[in-house]
Amino acid sequence: MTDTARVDTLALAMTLATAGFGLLALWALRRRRPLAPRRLRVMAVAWVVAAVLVLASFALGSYLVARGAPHAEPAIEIDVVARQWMWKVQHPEGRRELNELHLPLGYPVRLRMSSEDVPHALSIPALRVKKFMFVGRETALELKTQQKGQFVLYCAARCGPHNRAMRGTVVVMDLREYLQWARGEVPGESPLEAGRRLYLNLKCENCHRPDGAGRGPALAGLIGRTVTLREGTTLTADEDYVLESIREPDAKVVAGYEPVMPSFAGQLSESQLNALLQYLKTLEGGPR
Amino acid sequence: MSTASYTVRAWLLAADARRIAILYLVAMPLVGLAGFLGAVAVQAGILFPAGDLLEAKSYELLGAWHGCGMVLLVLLPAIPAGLGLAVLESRPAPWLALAGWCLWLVAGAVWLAGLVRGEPDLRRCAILGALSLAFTFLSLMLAVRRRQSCGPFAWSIVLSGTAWLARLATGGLEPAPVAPLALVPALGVVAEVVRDSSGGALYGRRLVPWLLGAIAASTFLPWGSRLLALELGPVLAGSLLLAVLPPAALVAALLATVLRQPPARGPALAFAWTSIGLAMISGGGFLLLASAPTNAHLAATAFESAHLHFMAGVVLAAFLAGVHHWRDVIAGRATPEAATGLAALLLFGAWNFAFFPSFVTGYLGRPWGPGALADSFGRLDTISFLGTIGLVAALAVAARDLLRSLFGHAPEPAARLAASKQCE
Ligand code: HEC
Repeated sequence: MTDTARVDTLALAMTLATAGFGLLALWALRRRRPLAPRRLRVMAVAWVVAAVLVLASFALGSYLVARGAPHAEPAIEIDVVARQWMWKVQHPEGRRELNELHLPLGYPVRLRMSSEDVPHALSIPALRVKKFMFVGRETALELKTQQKGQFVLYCAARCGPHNRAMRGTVVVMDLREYLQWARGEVPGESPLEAGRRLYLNLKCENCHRPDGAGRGPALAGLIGRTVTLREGTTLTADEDYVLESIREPDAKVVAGYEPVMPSFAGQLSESQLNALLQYLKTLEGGPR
Repeated sequence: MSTASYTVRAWLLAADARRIAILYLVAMPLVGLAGFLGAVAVQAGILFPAGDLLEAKSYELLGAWHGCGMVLLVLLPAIPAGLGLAVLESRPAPWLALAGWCLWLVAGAVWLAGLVRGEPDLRRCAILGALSLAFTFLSLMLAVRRRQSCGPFAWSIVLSGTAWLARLATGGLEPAPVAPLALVPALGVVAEVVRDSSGGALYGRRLVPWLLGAIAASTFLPWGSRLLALELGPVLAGSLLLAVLPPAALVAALLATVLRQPPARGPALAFAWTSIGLAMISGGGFLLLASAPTNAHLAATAFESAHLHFMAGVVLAAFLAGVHHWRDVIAGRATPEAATGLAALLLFGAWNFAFFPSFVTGYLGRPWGPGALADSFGRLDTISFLGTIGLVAALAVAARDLLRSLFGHAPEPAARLAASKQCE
């Protein structure tokens, strides 16, 4: 279930529970004959016990949903700075924007946020998120979009008389479009440099740590290596295998690892894939 | 009473608790009407954004002005000053209550003058209003002690008075955080009305003062928009959810009371049920504000505003229940009962029409306050505006009922003049 759907489900459950108690109350009001003392006691106790149980399950549900929100996954990091009365955004590629926030679809993003003057609060209702921003203290908002399109963002803090002017647009686009957009024009970049940039920005290294201790295998010196797959078969890694591993990681899963790598099929252009490949080839050393 | 003079001077400097209560009962609806009209102006701006009745800054100010006056001058004092002084206080010269009334008048003047000048001095208005309420509470608490009054209403006054004095000591008079305390006297009135309509004894009555006390204590928990700046850790989140239990248990006790002995129906009871109904809806909203994931999304939106307004509805309905219930005490003689509970039903419906849409628009992301005028929610805004008009109708019917019974003469002799019960 997506985060937005989780929050909505929790809200719905709370609404329905309230309505349930309301219906019970209505029944009690409409009854004309007195209730026998024993049944009365059962009713009163049942009501309170039900309330306790409902609240306990809400407490648990809230905890689970809240805990589910921060993604242990790698994320594209975007800096968001608020000031009276505007939003300044800088993407990892270096591209800046004002009162707009471009996000890649379905890819985890971490917004690193701070304020330059008074406390502000970034709120994106469509994503069911909101976070305060302070001067001199960084806060982070982790999110993953589920839908392409444009959404409102605004400041939910009482930040001053022109608070209502402090709104902007969230633009959710495909990862590939986002990367193209975020790259803007980077004049004279070689494929190798582009590959390195992609590798860093897409946080491949969060899983593929050089020491092999991450969630995925170390990638240094991969080409030419003998790889054992889950089913027990072996193969020698070549360029096609590497490209396939990025496009459809689940097609051939390395033995000893879980199939947790996100698929980049359709997300990266051929030239971006090629750039990544060029960069991977240059990685030296490795434990194996 | 017979020697009391009826000159203007005697009324304005009334040193008789019942008279002070009546002065509040006349003045508070006027202040409430002014605040209501301010809100309607803001709402009309939302509905017809093209018209741009006022500048953005004026909307901001008007919103803050509405909140300050409505909470500190109407919502909080309505029941302690308007009903408490009439029902619980009986000293010939309640100077504390009189001081409270004078401060309230000054606060109200500051508040209204602020609107006329276009730059409201809300801080001063809040401080004066808060002090006025403190004097009223002190007067009432002393009276309860002296007369050994008993029952949910007397308890609720003592408990909320204590909480209010503690609040003044700790500072902080923002309208939204202080408003929930008004629930305590409101629930006290409701419990007393249910008790008296249903055979004179509450189910689980030994528990009721504890529940009221727990509700008063829980108003000190930080919640809603203040959680934006806080991390809602497991302990705070847990205690916030727990705060729903005492009111839920109180409602259970009231329902059990009427299930044990079906009540004598009347307008007071009808308003009491309206109050409980609105409280349950408000409580549902509170659940969403008290849970971390939904709070992150809903705090400081129109959703929180809807929750607050439902709380205000709880107090208004309880207040009307109390006026019906104690109309003989207020009028000082036997009065007839209003015929129907129609006004209570209308109030419940209109309140939902007027404020429920804000739960939805808040969920869809409208920020709290007039800051979000730019966004229109079309049909929802229209429903809410129609609800506001319905509210006028409901209150008009309620006022007609009340005036009829307060100025009418009962055929039977005054039986319910004994204002408050002694402790057994
Ligand atoms: C969520 C963690 C994660 C991320 C992010 C991730 N991978 Fe992987 N990757 C894995 C895991 C786990 C495996 C091994 C299982 C498999 O083959 O699916 C793997 C396998 C691979 C392989 C095959 C390795 C081998 O030894 O056969 C390549 C190549 C690869 N990833 C490249 C990348 C690149 C390039 C990126 C960034 C664009 C990336 N991965 C991002 C987890 C990740």
